[in-house]
Amino acid sequence: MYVALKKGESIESPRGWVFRVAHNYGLKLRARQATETRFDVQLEARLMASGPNQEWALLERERMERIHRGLDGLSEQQKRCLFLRMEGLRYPEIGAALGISASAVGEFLRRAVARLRKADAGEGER
Amino acid sequence: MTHWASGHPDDGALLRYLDGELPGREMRRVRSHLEACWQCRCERKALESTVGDCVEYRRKVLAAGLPEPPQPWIDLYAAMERQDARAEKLGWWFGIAAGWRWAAAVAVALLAVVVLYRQFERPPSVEAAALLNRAVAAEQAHPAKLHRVRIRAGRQEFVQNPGVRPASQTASESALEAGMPAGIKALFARAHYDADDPLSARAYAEWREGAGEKRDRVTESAGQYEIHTVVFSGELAEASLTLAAADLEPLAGKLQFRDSEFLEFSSLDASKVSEPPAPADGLAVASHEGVPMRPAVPSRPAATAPRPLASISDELEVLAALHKIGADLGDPIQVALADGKVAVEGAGVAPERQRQIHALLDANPNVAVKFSEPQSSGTLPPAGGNAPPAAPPAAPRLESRLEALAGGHAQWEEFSSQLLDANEAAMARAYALRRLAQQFSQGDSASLSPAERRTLLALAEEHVNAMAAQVEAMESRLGPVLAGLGAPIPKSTPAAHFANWQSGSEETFQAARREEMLISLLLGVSSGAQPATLPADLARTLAEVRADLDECRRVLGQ
Repeated sequence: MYVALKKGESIESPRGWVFRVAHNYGLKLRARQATETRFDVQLEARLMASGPNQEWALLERERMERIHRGLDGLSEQQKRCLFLRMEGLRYPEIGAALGISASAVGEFLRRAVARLRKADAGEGER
Repeated sequence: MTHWASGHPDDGALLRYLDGELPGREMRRVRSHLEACWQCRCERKALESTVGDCVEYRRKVLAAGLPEPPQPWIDLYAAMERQDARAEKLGWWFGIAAGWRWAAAVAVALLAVVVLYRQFERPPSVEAAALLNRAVAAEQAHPAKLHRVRIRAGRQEFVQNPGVRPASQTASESALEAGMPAGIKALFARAHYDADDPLSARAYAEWREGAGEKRDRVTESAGQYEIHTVVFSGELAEASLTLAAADLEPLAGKLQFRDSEFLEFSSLDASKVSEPPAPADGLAVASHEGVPMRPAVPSRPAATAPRPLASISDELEVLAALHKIGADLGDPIQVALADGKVAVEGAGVAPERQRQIHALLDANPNVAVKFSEPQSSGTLPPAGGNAPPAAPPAAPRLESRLEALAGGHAQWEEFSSQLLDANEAAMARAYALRRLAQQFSQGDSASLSPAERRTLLALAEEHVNAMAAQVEAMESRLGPVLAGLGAPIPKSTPAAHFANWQSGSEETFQAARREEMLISLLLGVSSGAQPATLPADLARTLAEVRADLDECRRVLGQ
C-alpha cells in the first residue's frame, strides 16, 4: 500500500484495498497448493482440546461441525462476503474488495444466512 | 430498495437493518415495525442467532486454526525507509544497470540455447509407465471423453464409436460402423490388443504389460506426448500412443507388425487433432475400402452471420433505456459487458420491475438479462390488522430539542420524513452518477461517437441536477434547525476542483455518504452517539456536497 500511495495511486477504501490484495494473494496460495489437509481432523482436534468437560465438548463439537457443514454448502461468493463481513467490513468495503456492488453484497449475505438457517433446521429435524 | 412481504420486511431487509446498511428512512421504518411486531422480532432473533453461530465458528475454529505467521512482523517503518532509499537509488541504478542488462540478456540467451540443447539430448524425463498410469486415471475420471476413432490397416479403413454417439454423427457415417472388417479384427487379435477400444491408455497399458521384453521412449513436442514401445519378441515390432499433454487424452496410436502390416488409429475429434495423421508409406488415403471418409467439418454450420460483439455504445444504450424507467435509481441492477454481450443482472429485483426490464431489453440481441429470484424465508404469515400501533422510539436529547424547534411531535415527524425522503432521492442519484462514471471512464468516453457522448453527458447532468435539487431542499429545511442548534452558517462555499466529471462524481458520492450518515445521527435513525459538533459538521458537509455538485456541473458543461 505504501508503494502504491508513493506512486501517486489513489486508494478509495484502504480496508477494502488491503482485503482485496490479501484475497488475491490467498487465492494464489491456494492455487499453488497441490493438496490440502483434511479440515475435519484439525477441527475435531481443536474442539476436543477445549471446553469444561467431555459432554460439553461433545455438544460443542457437534454444533461447530454443523456450522462447518452449513458453511461448506455456500457458494464461493457467499462465503467470501460472509467471511469479510465477519472481519467487520461494511457492504461497500466488501464490494470494493470483491469487485461487486454493495447491493449484490447484501443479496449474497442474505442468501448465505438463509442457506445456513435452512441447513441448520434440516439437520435439527434429523 | 427494501422489500416488504405481506407487510413485513423480508429477511434481506432485516439483515441490512441489523448491519446498519439500510438508508435512513428505511432504517427507521424497519425499527418502528420491529417495535410493534412480535413475529419480526423473533425473525430478527433467529437471524442474530445464525450470525452469532458464524462469529463463534470464526473465533473457535477458524481463528484457532490459523497457523502462526511464517516470520515475525518486520518493522514497517524500516521497510518504508528501504523503499524510499530504493526509489532514490533507482536513478543511478538504471545508469549502471544499463550495461549489466546487456550482459544479462546475452547470458539468458546462452542459457536458453543450452537448455534447448539439453532438452533434445537428455533422455525423456517422463517414464512411460507413469505417464500411462496417469492417462488411465484421467480416462477413468472423465469417461465422457470417448470419441470416434478412425482405424486403418493397409487398404482398409473403419470408423468406430466406442460407447458414445456424438451429436455430430450423421447417417452416412454409420455405414462405416456396421461392423469392423474381419481383416482389422484379425490384426488386433494377432497383436493381442483390445479391438473394442483401441484408442485408450487402458488398452495400450494392458497390451504393454503383456508384451514381454521391451524398451520405451517418451518424447514431448507441440503439446503432445508420444509413448513409443519397441518389442523384442512376438508379432508386434513396435507400437506408439500419442497423448495430449494438457489432459492426457489419447489422440492417435499405431501398431507395427514384424511382417510390415500395421494398424493405425486416430481420434476424429477435430478439436483435439490439429492435423490428420500422415498416411502410411505407399498408401493414399483414397485407396481404402468402403465409403470414402468425409473430412472432419462441423456437422451444423452456422445458419447466420456471426453477431458483432457488444460495445460500450450498446452498454450506454442499455443504461439510457433503464434510466427512462428509473431502473438505474436504487434497484440492485448491474450492467456490464461480458462475453460479447451487455449483461444486465439483478438480484432481488421486484417481479414487476423484472417484467418492465425484460419488455424493454429482450428484443435487443446484444443484451442478456438475468435476474436471480428473491428467496423469501417464507416464515412470516401475512400481517394482521390488529397489530398494535408503533410506540414512538425513545427520543435522545438532541431529538427532543429538534422536536421543540420543529414545533411539536407531529411537525417533527413530518419534517424528518421529508428530510429522509430528500436524502434518499439524493443518494439514489449519487449512486447512479458514480456507477455511470465507473462504467464510462474518460478513455471510454473518447471512443464514443459525438451523439453517444452527448447521451452520456446528458445522463450524468440529469443526475447532478436532480441531486442538487434535493440537496438544496435539504439545506433550506435544515438551515433554520441547524442554526437553532447553534451551528455556524458556512460563510464561504468550500472550493472544489475536478479534472473531469468522473472524478467529481466520486468526490460527490463520498461527501454525500458522509452527509447521509450525519443526517441519520441527527434524526436518531442511527443509534450512534451524537457528537457536540454534529450540527456544524452537517452544515459543512451539506455545503461541500453542494460545492461538489456545482463543480461537476461546470466540468460537464465544458
